[in-house]
Amino acid sequence: MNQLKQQHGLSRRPSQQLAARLAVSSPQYDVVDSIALRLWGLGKSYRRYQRQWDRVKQWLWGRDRQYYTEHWAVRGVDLTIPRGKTIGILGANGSGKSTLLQLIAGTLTPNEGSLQINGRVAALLELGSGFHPEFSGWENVRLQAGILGLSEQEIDQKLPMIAQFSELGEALDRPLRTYSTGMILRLGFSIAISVEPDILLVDEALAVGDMHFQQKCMARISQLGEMGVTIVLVTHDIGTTKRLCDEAHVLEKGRLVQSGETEAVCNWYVARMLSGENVPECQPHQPYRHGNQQAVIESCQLLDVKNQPTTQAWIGSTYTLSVKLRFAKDIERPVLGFYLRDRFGTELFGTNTDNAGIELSGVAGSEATVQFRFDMHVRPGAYSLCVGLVDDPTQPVCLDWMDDAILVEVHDPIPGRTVHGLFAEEIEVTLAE
Amino acid sequence: MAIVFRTSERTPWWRDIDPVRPVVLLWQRRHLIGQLVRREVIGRYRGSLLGTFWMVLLPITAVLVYTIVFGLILKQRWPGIESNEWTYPLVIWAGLALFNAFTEVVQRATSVIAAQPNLVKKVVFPLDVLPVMLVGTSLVPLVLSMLAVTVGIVFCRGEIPNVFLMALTLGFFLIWLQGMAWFLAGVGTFLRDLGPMVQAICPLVLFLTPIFYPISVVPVQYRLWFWANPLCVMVETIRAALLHTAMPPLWAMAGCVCVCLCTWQLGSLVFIRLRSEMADVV
Repeated sequence: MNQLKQQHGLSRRPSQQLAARLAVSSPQYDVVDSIALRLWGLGKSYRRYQRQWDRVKQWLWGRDRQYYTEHWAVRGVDLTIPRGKTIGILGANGSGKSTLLQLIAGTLTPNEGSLQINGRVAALLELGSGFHPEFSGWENVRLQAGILGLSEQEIDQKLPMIAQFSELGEALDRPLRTYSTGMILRLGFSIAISVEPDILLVDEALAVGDMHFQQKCMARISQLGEMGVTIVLVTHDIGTTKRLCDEAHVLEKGRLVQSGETEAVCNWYVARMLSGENVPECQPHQPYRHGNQQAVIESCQLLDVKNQPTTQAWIGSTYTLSVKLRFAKDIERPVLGFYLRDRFGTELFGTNTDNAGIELSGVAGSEATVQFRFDMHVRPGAYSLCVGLVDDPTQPVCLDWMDDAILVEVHDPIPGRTVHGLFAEEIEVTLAE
Repeated sequence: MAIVFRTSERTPWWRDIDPVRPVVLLWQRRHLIGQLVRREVIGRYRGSLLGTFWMVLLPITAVLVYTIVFGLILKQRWPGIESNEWTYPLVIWAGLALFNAFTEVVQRATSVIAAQPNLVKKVVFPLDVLPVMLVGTSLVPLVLSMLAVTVGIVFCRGEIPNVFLMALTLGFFLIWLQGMAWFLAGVGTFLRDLGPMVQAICPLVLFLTPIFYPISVVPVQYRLWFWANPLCVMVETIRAALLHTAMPPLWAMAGCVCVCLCTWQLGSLVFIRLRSEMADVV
């Protein structure tokens, strides 16, 4: 047992070796400088005591016996985050995302492993949580900025910026209890962002507040990302992850189960959420496919007006998405649908056979070809078509699902034109008499 | 660029023995402590009409009550000195001011961490500042009371108290109190029974400390136990400085200084060792 412990301890104890390595490599600053965050086998466990007395017993006789059950919130996480990257951490509720963020932020101490942080960390874990209701906005700004580690001079210097970003104006003179929830959030975000971090940790806290301010927060976060701030974003929202992140990681029951390029990892994560355990390995730049295969998508093609398969499309032209299906088993109510997605993963448009009033007969052994015809009215760029076949649209059981089934490049037939917005609608513009 | 390295490995506890380090940290965080103390002091009476004026008003009403009850009705006189009806309440007030600061700090210290879950879990906050905030907050009425007592004694007795000795005693009192605050805040976060325990002990301390009586009335065979209580030594020293009466024996004062410094070290050590686990239980 003791030997086992020792071995275990050694494998999880890189700190001494690391310290030695750091000392050796410290003259070469690029080694440390190119990396913002490093985690070695990071783990956090909570001890659950049945009764309060068990805690006292553990203090007194803890060397020989164990009076608690151990619960690992995060375990064995190895991660290297390069400087200037924005990374997303995905995971279901209770998968340990927030614990991991708290470990990085330093509010929790690891029980296992170690981590190295190169630079100043700011965490947007919960905004406006430390405010005092009886004090005015200004006083709370000073107090909170002090708590976040700004010096007196820095606070004086940043006050106007914070006030401007929060857009609270004269409300800052009033006590905080007169504020609405949204106003408190604005103030909290404005203060947190003023710290000018090297590494920014963002929890799902930003899902509140009005649209205008949410967009402002997001814009500010991506602006910081462009300025070279390393950002760790924890969220459920696939759209946000795809839009902002360079790479993504999936946590499951406290362990890192998938890492890599955002698009591939996000698709893998969605598949995992929808279909459960049996999801194949995640590979970048491959059509991502999952489902129980009781019916399969044999082939899908994008056809131009001359019925020729194509991957290049022109604004204003008509295209047909032709999908061939084969049913291996009897399916009660098969429904086929598609989405057109832009490069951020935003679903721009799409439909399904149920919407269109078409009933597919899912007899075992039969085949069917469904054609969707539409005009291309999106702005130039790269798009992907996602095709899915499900059973019973009210409670979908996934039969076959292909993300990025077809990649399309959309071009503008009118050279030099700028398309404003996501769609390239034909708009008639006239000068009234 | 700041490089932070955190690991699950714990340094051995004796590595954290360093009485000077807390002083350095407190100096670095003086602005934050100032802000927090301000918030506590002003926040307590925020929204009331008289505001912080209550801080002065409450001790004044208290001493008026003592004067009326003890000086005018019971006609108590402090043994061993020439006095009039104003001296007795003033002398009591000096001892009570110390005791009040002591009770306020120890009672609030046991729950000061648990009362601020946001600071423990949501932000990276130097938690050792919270007990300092308590001591800083209690310092305000203490210093006000001491000033008032000094002025009162000058008027009543016509002689100037030994202000230097008073300040020195107050300094050691604060060192002792800070050690207690750290210790109780650290242990109390995990052992919630500490709060009621401290509450039960406080009245006992009030009557076993010579506040309403001088130590000269205590039978000689019990005095050793009284001198073992640092609060007793400090109250007696403050009174000796105020009234120019006999000082506590030198060995008792030396012992008290030792206890103060040891409490400071023990308190900061316990707090540092327990700090990393606090987020797990709050």
